[in-house]
Amino acid sequence: MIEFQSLSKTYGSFNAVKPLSLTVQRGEVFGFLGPNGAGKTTTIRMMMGILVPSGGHVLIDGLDCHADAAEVKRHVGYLPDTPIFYDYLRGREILQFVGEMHGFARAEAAERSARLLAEFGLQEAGEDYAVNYSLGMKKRLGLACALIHDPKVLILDEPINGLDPRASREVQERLLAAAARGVTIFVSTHLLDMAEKLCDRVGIIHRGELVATGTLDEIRAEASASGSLEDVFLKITDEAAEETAQ
Amino acid sequence: MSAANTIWLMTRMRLTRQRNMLANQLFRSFKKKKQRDATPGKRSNVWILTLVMALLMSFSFTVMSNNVMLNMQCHLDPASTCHYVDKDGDAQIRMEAAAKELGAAPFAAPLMHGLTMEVAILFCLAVLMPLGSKEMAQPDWDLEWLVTMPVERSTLLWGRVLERSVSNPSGWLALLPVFGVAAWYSGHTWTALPVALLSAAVLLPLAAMLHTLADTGLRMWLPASQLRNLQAMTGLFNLPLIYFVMSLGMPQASGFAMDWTRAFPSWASWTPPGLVLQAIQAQDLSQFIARAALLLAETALLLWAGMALLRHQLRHGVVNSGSRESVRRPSASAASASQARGLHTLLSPIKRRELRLLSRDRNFLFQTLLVPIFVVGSQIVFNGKLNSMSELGEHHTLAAAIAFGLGVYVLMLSAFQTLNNEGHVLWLLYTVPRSIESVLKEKAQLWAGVTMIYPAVVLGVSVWYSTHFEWNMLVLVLTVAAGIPIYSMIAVSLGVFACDPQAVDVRTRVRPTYVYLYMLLASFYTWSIYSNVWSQKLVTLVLTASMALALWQKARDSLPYLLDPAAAPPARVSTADGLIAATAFFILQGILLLFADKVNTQAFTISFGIAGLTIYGLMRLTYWRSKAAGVPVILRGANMAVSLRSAAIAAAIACAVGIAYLLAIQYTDMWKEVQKAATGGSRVWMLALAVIAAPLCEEFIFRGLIFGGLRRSMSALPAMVMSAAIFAVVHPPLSMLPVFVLGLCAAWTYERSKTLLAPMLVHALYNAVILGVQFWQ
Repeated sequence: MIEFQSLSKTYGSFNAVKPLSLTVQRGEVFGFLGPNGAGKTTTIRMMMGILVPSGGHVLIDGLDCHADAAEVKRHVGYLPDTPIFYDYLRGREILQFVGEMHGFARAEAAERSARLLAEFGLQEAGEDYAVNYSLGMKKRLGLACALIHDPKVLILDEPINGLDPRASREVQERLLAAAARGVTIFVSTHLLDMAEKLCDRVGIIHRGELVATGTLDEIRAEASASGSLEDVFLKITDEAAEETAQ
Repeated sequence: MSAANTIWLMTRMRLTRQRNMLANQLFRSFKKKKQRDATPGKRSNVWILTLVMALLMSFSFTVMSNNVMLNMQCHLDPASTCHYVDKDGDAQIRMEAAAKELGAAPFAAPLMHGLTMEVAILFCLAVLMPLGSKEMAQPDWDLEWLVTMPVERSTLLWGRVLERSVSNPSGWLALLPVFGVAAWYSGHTWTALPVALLSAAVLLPLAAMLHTLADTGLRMWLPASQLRNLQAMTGLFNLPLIYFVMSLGMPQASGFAMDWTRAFPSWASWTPPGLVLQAIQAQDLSQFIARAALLLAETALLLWAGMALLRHQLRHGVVNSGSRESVRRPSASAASASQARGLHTLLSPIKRRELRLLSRDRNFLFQTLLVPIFVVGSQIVFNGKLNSMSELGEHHTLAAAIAFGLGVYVLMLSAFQTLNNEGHVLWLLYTVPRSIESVLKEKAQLWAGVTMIYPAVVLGVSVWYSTHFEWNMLVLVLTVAAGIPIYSMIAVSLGVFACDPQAVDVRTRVRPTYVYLYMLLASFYTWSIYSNVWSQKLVTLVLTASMALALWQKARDSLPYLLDPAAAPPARVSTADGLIAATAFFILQGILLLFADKVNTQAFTISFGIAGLTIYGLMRLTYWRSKAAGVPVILRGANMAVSLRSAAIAAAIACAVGIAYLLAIQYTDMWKEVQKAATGGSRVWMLALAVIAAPLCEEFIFRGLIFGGLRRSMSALPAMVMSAAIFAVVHPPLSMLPVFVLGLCAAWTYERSKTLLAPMLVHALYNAVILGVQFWQ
């Protein structure tokens, strides 16, 4: 469903993402783990056509994310790490706008946004200007925007970062429900317990390089570390740091 | 930590911030860090321009203050001898006389009144200008952060006021020149600058106190969205004040500015602005001490009262507890939704969203739609031209130029900013299955439509007052109506290059260079409004339209790379290259002709050939170095059968039209010109030029680059028409029509054969046949 073909991004001599090859299967929940500044957001921005790859390709459903940027978006929902919304537009109006931009008729878009606002508990807040939302509300509105066209693929950048326990639980349940419907989810995070609960498979990226992929058990075995994902993560990113240092 | 130390630290922080902001704007391209900052700065080097601008501004402000002073002396002091009647019997004003009077005696009471009013208005500006800046509406208000430090509240507030008095550039710029000029004429001459600095230093803390009271108080009372709207209004009200002060300095200004000065209450002389002037004008030490003491006492009292009010405002804390805006009016919005349904079916979601933002965001609304009216309106009112509206009915060209100018100005404030207005929300457009280009296209259409209202009103006034109908009026209306959509397109595409939607500081988001380029292009079109020659109008129209298409294409190419700080679009042949090549070709030809002993057909052919070869070589070299895609080929991979067949058909059509045209104009006056041109020089050289040199050079540029470039972003027929039109307008007016047909035919063969051989053959055959007919006759 998502295919990275030695995708890379350099800024001058700095390698933000080193050639990355990876395949995410249909219906899979893939966790993209890494410490701050590892290249997670850069990778996701390349998937959304916001950044242009320096080398390689990333395909979603067989379509190139750079060359067929507009077509790819028909099947993809995206949530950025900090969603910023228009001044002077209400939550409902933003959702309606996104719906219409996806090609739904006005009535259909209105009906879908009303349903999603209700689902995300934003009915009342929907009549407020979205710039004044708290971070949690912004993330929920962003998620509603990402889901309005029933996408086959969800690309989420730190979806529960900064949310309170209840909100984060709600978001995770919503993601699990989407996964149960067969939606492929590509989620970046540095929150390990979320990855442990949610993901079928994870990839660990460190300093722009994919250092490990597989199910959690496989990664544990590979790192020959027993115990929590946190221990494994710390061990792997530490080793990788040493290798790069040498 | 002592209070003075705190205040000093706060002031230093504020000044450091201003210095960084300035340095960031001016010297951004100099700073090159090693690692991640290998991204080349996208900004060009404009710091010299800014420096020159700053110098020019202080100079012109001083000159203006001087003019105001002399003008008021002249109009207000009844004893002034500056009025005289020249030999034609017109009333004139002698400024030197006024200057001499000012230096000789203390200022007359009416003049002191006038000056007090001027200083009072400038003082208002010193309060309003910083208040109208973006800072007020920004959510991260730094007092919230400062109160977390271990400092007394009162120290903090005094620090805020003093820090704002020092770092108020518009306040210093407004007050220094007027005090300097007043001090100069009061006999301080070369110590005028320190006197002015001292005077401004007394008034600016008051301005800072008012500013702080206003924005702190407003922050506590108003929700953020209303605050932003209020700020927009503040910004707008600055304009008439500035124009009013300027009108005081105009000798021929309408009388009402001076009437207001006379009506200004006399007690104002005992307020701080008046007292500063009195102290500057003091005739002896005791008078000075009395005025200065009174001034300081008043200032101290006002500051103390202001501080008390400020502490009262902040008694419940420094942030508004209900800072979240609650604007729940579902019933109202539902009603308006049903009301506007008619509009909804007409407009796309993008256009609806843009109009909705415009209706809610007063800042956006004022900046785009009201500022032009205010600027033009203030000009008319303060220059006393209000009764000259009817003149628009007589001077149609002037009316058309004003209409177009106003439209272009509105477009600069609206269409030019389309990408900018998206700002940090641009990511949302990347999540929907639409290209950014289509979004921008809709915005260009919308703004062209909205902008059209302004020229329509101006032209309507012109028609209303005009006494009789002329065909010329229709031509002017059409020229303006065609110009607005073209410049909407140019504005949007230049806006793409000029804007950095990711810039953190709003002020650095637009690069001024592109604004100047836009204005330059607009003046080019205005020139064609003034031109009476139809061919010049046509040439300008076609050239600006093609420029709009070329710029649009360049902008479209760069759109996928918009949010990427490092990547640039790969090189491809574009319409812009063709236009540049064509321009360079003609310029080079002209330069080469300068070297010829005498200008005849031979010299013309040689310079044409050399220029053509040079441009061809340069373009190929550029494309080869940048590895550009889509470079036109002449022979390689040509399908001979298709080339020859299409060339034969196209040449037959072009020649037939050409001959028919020659026959048709045979009986008109134009024929003589044709004859003169045909018999003017050596036939061999003319044939060489027409049959060999012209097809080789011109086909590469006009078909290969321009048609090929246009074809990349539009379908075959419009590209053929547009490229043929450009091809036609670079020829003499007499031959434009047949050359247009030739352009169409040649473009068609290029479209069929994909190589330049066929159009070159058509061009050569056509030129040979037409020349043959002319020689034979």
